[in-house]
Amino acid sequence: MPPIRRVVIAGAGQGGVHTAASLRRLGYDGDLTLVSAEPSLPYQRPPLSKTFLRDPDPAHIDFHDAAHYSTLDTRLVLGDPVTTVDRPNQTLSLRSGETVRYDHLVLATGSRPRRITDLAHLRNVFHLHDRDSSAALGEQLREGRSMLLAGGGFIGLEIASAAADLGCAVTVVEQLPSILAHAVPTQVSDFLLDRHRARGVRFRLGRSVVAFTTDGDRLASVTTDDGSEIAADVVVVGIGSVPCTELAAHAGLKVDDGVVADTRLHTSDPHISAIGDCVRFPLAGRPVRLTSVQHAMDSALHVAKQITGRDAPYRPVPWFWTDQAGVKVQMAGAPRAEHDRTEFVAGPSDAAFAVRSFLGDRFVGGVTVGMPREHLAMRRELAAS
Amino acid sequence: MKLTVDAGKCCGSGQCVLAAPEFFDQDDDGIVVLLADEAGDDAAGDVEEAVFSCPTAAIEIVGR
Repeated sequence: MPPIRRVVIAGAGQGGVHTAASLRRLGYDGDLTLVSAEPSLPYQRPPLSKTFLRDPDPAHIDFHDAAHYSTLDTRLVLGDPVTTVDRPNQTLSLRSGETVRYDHLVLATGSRPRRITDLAHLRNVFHLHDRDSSAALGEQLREGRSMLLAGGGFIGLEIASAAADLGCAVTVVEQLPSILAHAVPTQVSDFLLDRHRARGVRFRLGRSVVAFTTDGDRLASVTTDDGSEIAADVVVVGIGSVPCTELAAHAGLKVDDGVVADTRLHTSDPHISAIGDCVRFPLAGRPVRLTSVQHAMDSALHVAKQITGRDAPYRPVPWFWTDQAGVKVQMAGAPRAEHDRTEFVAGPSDAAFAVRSFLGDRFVGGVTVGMPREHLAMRRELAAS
Repeated sequence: MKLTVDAGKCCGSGQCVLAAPEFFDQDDDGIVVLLADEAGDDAAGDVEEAVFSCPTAAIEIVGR
């Protein structure tokens, strides 16, 4: 293949921004264009369900200043998303009508919250996905007295924590019998459930929402499958994410709950790679989609290496963190890694411990609560194995 | 080169500790602690790796 002199990155979240930084760090000196659908400078998303929700100070989500992108000799296109990709001609169109040529295109289109479409138009129902929805949710939580969360996943429970801190009476409705099911070991799930309850959060586990009532443009109450009615000023839907694959699908790339990529993160077109939340790729032989800062950054660096001629399979050591119920929980290793036993590690206080998972004698991953050094030790072990 | 950290931006990922343990540590909450704020040329590679791999852009190299 001829040398790559024009790289376009579609999407300026954590992964898109890190692709630009990685390419320059690796010595790439061709054209570099970073295209964002959003009008503001790229910002950080993890705080949207944490600090920024409690206090909408932009300092919480500030990422790099404009000078950073000049230093990277990167053309930053804001508020002008890629609308179509013409693969035979290796060009793409922006909404403004501009056509941009590429030798290599990096899809970093991210994911969006899974929606309950019947509820999405209601003024007090939130699907957290960007700075505006976080700011609007925070405003209603400061004004409101009660919040209902549908779903017991990471982002939802972070929001529940913030809402409780802001003085809301919080109720969580989760279909499964435990929170963060399949994502953390039982000991961690039970510990966090107790912590949330001690902070006044109420849980309806093993229940699902079957009906709702509205009052004008607001949701007034929901009914769960045991017949109880729960009223709330604010309703948050936290039932997972779906990858943004429309652009890839429209371009005729292979898509299957994510843009399908190989072990190099190449899509079905060798001139197009996919990274971050939007890509489905083989990890330890199993196709997965990871939605984490770690994967956004590691896949960005990986693709930058591929573009600059350093070929190797993408074999990340996954890690993840959540701040909720007053503690930091950190995970190392592939989510749901196959294991046949766990080992409990006591920490320096009642609110600190770790759970390590093993398959036979092999350490496959673990979760720490309030033990950042143990978390790093786990990542070092996984990287060495 | 001189180093500064913004603990308010830190998410406790530990990336800096893995890249340059002589310069960065974490407190019990995982938040970055700067061990030395002046790095010589021999340490430039490690420190630049820490800046590059920090997910929240919480580390800055100033005055070089």
